[in-house]
Parts: sequence; structure tokens; C-alpha cells
Amino acid sequence: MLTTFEDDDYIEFKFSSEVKMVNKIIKEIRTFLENYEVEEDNNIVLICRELINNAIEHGNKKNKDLAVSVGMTHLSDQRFKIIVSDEGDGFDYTSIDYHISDDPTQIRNRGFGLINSFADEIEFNDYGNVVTIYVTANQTTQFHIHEEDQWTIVEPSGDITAEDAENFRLVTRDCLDQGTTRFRFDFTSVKDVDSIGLSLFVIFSNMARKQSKDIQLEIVNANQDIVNLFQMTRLNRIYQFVE
Amino acid sequence: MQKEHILIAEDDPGMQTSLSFILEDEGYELTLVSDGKAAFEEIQTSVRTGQLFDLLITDIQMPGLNGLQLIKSISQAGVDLPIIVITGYGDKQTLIELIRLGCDDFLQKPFEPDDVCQKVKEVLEKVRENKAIEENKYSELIKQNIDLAREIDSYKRSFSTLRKELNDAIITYQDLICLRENGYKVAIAHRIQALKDLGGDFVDIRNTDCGCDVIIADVAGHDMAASYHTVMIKSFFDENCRTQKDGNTYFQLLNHALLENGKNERMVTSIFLRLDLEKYEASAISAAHPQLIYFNSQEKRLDPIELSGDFLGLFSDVSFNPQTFPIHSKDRFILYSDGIPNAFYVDGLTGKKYTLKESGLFELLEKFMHLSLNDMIANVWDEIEAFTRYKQTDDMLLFALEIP
Repeated sequence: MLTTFEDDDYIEFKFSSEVKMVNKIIKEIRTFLENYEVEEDNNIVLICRELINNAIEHGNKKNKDLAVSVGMTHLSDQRFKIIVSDEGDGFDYTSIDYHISDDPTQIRNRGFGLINSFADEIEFNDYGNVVTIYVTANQTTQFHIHEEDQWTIVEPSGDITAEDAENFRLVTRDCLDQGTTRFRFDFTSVKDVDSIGLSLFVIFSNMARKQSKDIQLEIVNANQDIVNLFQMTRLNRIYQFVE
Repeated sequence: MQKEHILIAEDDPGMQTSLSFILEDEGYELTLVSDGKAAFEEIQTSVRTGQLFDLLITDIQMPGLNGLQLIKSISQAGVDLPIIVITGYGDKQTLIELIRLGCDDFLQKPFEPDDVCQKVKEVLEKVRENKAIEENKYSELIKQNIDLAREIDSYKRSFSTLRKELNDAIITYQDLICLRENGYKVAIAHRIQALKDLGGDFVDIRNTDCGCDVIIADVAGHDMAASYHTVMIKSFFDENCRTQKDGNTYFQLLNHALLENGKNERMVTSIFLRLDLEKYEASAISAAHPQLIYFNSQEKRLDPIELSGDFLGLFSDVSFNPQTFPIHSKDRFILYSDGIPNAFYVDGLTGKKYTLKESGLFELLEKFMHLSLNDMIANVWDEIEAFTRYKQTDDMLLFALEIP
């Protein structure tokens, strides 16, 4: 049994507690997420899979006559609200220990440790058979590049952190290989640069200066925290901040 | 060769006899039944015992289960059995249905003995050919499978060798940077939580002739390369404890070593704290590390100690601003990595991010500073973990010491 209800920014599934339904629902969820340009292999799908498995196995104890329902609301940009409910007796959610076990093969607490580490917030109803999850889809930062008045403009789509290091390195290396000497980094979408991100800017400037003495490096549209960070690390001597 | 075994389902005794005469003469082993139900039972038994029939010859018109129903049952049961059907003259619709069901050939009544022999031979020959092709394919598949298994096995072996080497490296690293709980001239308490096995946060303390030297350092990154830098910082610290050079000299040497030895720049933040328990004096120096917090036991208050200084590992000319100040018995120093002020959670409904910040840590320390050193650290740590909703996003290190 599977019924689907769809509305603006909302989708709901109700289905019988059969393990074979899990992949079917996940497929539908992926399709829904595609509408919002959520990247493949994201934390949302992982959370949904855990929650649906929980509802079928622990909640309804695989009783096919009991239903599981999954509702998903698109909140904003890459944020979603997921509500999963079953018709079982619920459980004592106050006893959940959210610490992730050192031993990854140990999955306790119905996998809520794992879910917690991927979600922003978890809420339960009194019985523990309705769980609400707020989640932000994880995004990797893209580096868009275009030419403008003999400047190469690099526009990161988000924060510059350890996870994006490899991407950043490849993109900037390609630019240097093409002989570019004027770089302008547009930080409009950058809220945060972590320590690895900063190291990348140092490495990049060293590489660039080795290539050419006339290298010009600019940063535009940076927020005050980032300006402070570059000042503290004295990187503002290398990267010119332009209002 | 073993005789080929044919099952004949035929309700007309005359027809049954003539078929058995013809086929026995040809040297086949026969089992005769007179309706579809009996035939199906024979087939099920053959599947159970593993003594499968090589061919089924069945009439269409039979009492009980007729030929069509029999063939359907066989296909539903998933039994692979070649079938020749005996049909009446000109029943086109039935023929189409039979082909659809996957029946192999037909015998149209009335038939000559030679027709029977010919059809049976043809069908069995076709089956043998198909079987040979299948077996060939199967053995080819097995061969590929073995190759693949061998390849996977070699990957597995090199992976587990690699994993073992990495585990050894991790153990050695953790032994190297592990902090003993006691045996120092000052009391200490600390918590450390690395995001990965090889983390960038490091704290160490050593007794000196007149007190203790303390180092806290944070190397950017959570990978093996970061741990090499950490080991280098530790060995320079050990050496400095022996030579008792001042903090500025230590940081200059360390900066030089980090730049010389790192192909890829790794920025490092650090605080070096020297305690002189004879003069009751502390000197501290910071390389862009989050601020040092000082608990003045006489005034019962917490104060950040402003120590400006450059990052280590980025530039060759660096300067620091060391400070020396008096200390008292029961005073405490609190050191931590940036993972603590940067600890955050995201509110579910609004998506707003709340960061602990240095002010948050300060509040927690104020709340628990009246407790013993151990309890203060334990409580502050618990609250930080709860604040982040037990989600770890960075290495976190919290360290405190108390002057005897």
C-alpha cells in the first residue's frame, strides 16, 4: 500500500510496514529533493532511510497492517522538515544517548546518534512514535570563474573550509596554468573561512608569485569577520581588500 | 551413458501403449501417467530427489489437470523441463497459447512412429546443445569470477596492510602526544576530542627546575600531515624545556622549522606558558591562539589575558608580545583550542546558527569556577557537548591548571 499527497513545497507518503517499501520511498524523496537542487548523496536521504527503517522495524514491528507516514516540507533554500510517524507503541526517547560510539559497528538507540550528527534538531511527540527532524542539506562549495576587464573573477558559492580544499586547489591551479596574473575573489556568498581555507590562500599566493612577479590579488564583498581574519594573519598584505 | 528419462502423460491407453513401444525401442527410460495431476506430482518428486526428467510428452486433453494447466503449473513452479505436446488436428488457438508458454515442440495426431522418434531426438539434441552453451557460459563466468575474486583479494590485502600501518601510526602518534594525568608540579584537568584519529590539537606540560612549562597548539587540518607538524611542535617543546629558552625564542625557532619542513603551508596557533613557582610568576606568549583565561583566586574573578602575536608557519618574519605577571596559590589558567568558541548548533525551525563564542565559554567557567579543578572542567565540558547537541564539527581541547 502506498498513497502519495503533494502540495506546494510539501510531499507526504503513507505506506504499509514492509521493508520493500523503503527503497521505493527513498526514490520518491530523491525526486522531490531534485526540485530544490539538493546535491546527490546527501545527509537528508540518509536520515530518511534511518527513520523509515526505524518506523517499520521498531515502531510497527514489521506488521504490514500498520502504516508509516513520511511528510517532508521544504522550509527555505536547502532546509527541510521531515516528520515520520508509525502506529506502534513508541519508545522512551528521553533515554537516547546522542554520543556517537567509538565503535562504528555499534548502532544503538535506533541509529539516533547517527541521525543527530546529520540533523539540525530532533523532536519527538510524547509517545515517541512521531519524530520531527529539521535538516540542512550539506553542500560543497563550487568555485565559479569568469573573466571581467582582464581580471579573473573567482566566486565561491559558499564557505571555504577543509572539505572544499581539493576543489579550491584544482580550480586555482588551472587558472595559474593558463597564465592569469590578476585574480579577484568575490566573497559575496562566503560567510566563513576556516584555518585550512586560510592556508589555501597562502599556498595559492605563494604559487602565484612564483609564476609571476606582477601578480595582483584582490578580495571583494568580504564580511567584517573575514576582513579581521585576514588582518590577523597579515594576509591582507598579499590580498588587497576592495570595498 | 545414462538412459534419458521421459515422462509421458496420456489418458488414452492405446496411445500410451503405442508411445511406450516406440520409445522403449529407442532405448529411453519411461514413466507413464494418465493425467496431468499425476504428471505434476511425478515432476515435483523428481525435483525433490534431484532425479530430473529429460523430457515431458503430454496430451492436451486429459481429465483433472489438462495439458495446458500442467505446463502452466510447471512454469510457475520454476521447473526447467523440455516439453512436447500432443495436439488434436488444427487447433490453432491452442498452438499459439502453447508457444507462449514455452513448449518446445508438437506432435499432431495421428502420428507415425518415425515422427515421434524424430521429434524426441530433435528436442533432446536441442536441449543438449543449449545445455552445452550454458555450461560454457557458466564456466567462463566462473573463470571471470575467480579473476575478480583474486583481484579483490589483493586489494583487500593491500588495504588491510595499509589500515594496519595507519593504525600503528595512529597508536604511535597518540602515545607521543598523550598527556599523563598527574606527576606535575601543578594540578591539571583536561578534555580532548579529536574529530579524526589524527587531530590538530595538542597540549603538553613538563616540570622544570622551578615550575612547569605548558604548550597548547592547534595545527590546521585533521589529517596525517597535521599530525607530523604536531609531533614536530612537541619535540621542539621538549627540547625547549631542557634548554629553558624563553617563549619568544621557542616560537621563532618553531616558526622557522615549520616553514622549512612544510612543503604546504600549515598555519599553527599556539600559547606557551611558563610558570615559576619559586618567584610566583607566569610568563605567556601567544601565536594568534584564542585568548588565555586567568582565574585570580584572590579576587575570585576570571580575566582574559591579551596576548597579541602572529600565526606560526605562514611568514618568515613573525613577532609576538609576551607578558609576565605575578601569580598566587590556587590561581588557575584555562587554555583551549578554537573548536570550543567555534562550537555551534543550528536551530531547527529558523535555521539560525548559534555559536558558543569566547563569551559563552567565559560564562560557563564563571558558573563552575567555584568547584574543584576537575569538576569545573567536567561540568564545562558537559555543557559544551550539550550546547552542540553532541554534534562534533571540529577538534576540541579544554585544559586547566591550578597553582599549588
